[in-house]
Amino acid sequence: MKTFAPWLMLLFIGPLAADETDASAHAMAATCSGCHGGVSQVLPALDRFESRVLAQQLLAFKSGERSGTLMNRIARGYTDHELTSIADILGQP
Amino acid sequence: MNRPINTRRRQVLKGMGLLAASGLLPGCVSTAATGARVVVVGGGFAGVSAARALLQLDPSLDVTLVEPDQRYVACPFSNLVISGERSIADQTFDYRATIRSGVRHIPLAAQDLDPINHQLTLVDGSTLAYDKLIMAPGISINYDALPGYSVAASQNMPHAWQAGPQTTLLASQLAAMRDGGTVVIAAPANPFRCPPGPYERASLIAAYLQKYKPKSKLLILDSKDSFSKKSLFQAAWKSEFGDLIEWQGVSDGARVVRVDADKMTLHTDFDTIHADVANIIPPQQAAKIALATGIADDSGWCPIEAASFASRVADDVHVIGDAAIANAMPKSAFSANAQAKLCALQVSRALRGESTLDSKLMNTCYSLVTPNYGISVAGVYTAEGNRWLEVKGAGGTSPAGASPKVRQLEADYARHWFSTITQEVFG
Repeated sequence: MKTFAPWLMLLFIGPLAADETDASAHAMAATCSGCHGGVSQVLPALDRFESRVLAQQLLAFKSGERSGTLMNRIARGYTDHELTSIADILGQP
Repeated sequence: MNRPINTRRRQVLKGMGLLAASGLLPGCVSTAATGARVVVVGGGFAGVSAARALLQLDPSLDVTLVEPDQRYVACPFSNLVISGERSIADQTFDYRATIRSGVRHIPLAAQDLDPINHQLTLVDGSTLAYDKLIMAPGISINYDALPGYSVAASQNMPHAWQAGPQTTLLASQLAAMRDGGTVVIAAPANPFRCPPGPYERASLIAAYLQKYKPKSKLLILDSKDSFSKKSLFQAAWKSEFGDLIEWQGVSDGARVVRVDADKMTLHTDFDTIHADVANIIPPQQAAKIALATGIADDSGWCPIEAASFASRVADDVHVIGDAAIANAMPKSAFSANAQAKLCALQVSRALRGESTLDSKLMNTCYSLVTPNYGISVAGVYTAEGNRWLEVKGAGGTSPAGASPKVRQLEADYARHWFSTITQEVFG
């Protein structure tokens, strides 16, 4: 069996979710791997982090408390609830 | 879709169930398998991403990729090939991993579509029946829109806007040019593939000229007055290259209305400009198959219902990537990949009788001004009816006046993005 790309796993779990909000969050989380899916260390792979920590960081990017090159601009596009849901999906429990 | 699932397929499904139960793919308990036939047209970032995502979402699907070429040459980062810093081999990917993942590749071009009977005809006359068709055919050059420009003319004045031989042709012309020559880039009006692309190209060519042919000039004749990351590019051009790059917009009378590839001249309403190397980035439209089958409208691009990417012309046809009208979402590889994942999800849901999901998408486009100077533009988008709209307050470009360290970081991230996305799609 071919290596299973993590983002595909995300999409796959999506349709199993009981409600559509969860499925939407999975769909949104799947786009993060465009940059964060790689094996190189330039940008962190997100599954290394606890969901709680990821959510904190995403919210800090959104508020401007933490500054990055690009993440502030991205995070501002999502509601706090969406960011927390994405972090739940991508991070470790 | 209520088509019968054949016996062989049922056995395969049973096998997949056992595989999941044995824990080889933890979490991948099979959802309701449909066994439906999905045909994907186009083997670029959009098409391959969609084909592979579909199979992972529903391994019972019969997924066929219709793509005449055995290799795909990626456009992102191909400007570094033109400036001599990257090999075209580094831009070239094949479909072996895609085929290994279970996608059937048919190396033929699609020729016609019968949406009523759900049938795609290929160039050899054979037909493919589908339950869902995903069109990801990319762009074609609209030669008719620029008098004097043609396939033949592109051998003298390359467009290099579909990566491959055109890219290496422009690279070799640049390498052969005398010091003191003039490079002219003609940039098109919106919409077109890769909005910041012409300006990244100008930047990297300028970096090459500055190093190897410092008496040369680069002139951009633009058919618009504004362009992606304009103020960032212009500030960087000044600081990095002095007066080497001159940009003229449509208000300066710089719209190229005709070219003469034998004389190597570009013509505006007011002027004739001679080029030593001319890069004509011409007007574009959806790929021929989209035009020929009527999936594109009079604009030359394909209208869609935003969230599902369903064609507004034909039932059970979806359009993603550069060929689709995705409004605020730029025609980029990042967009294509993001759209493909969502479209695959929507198609697999529709095949199970589930509703279209609401979701947001994002895009990031990095551009290199020099190999060590990166800038970016990002956006987050929501689907409202037939339109992908930008989420207000989000997105935008890298800040003006950022430190060299930040520019270096964004150049590193640009490279990282390319390796990540190509690994995800083709690896």
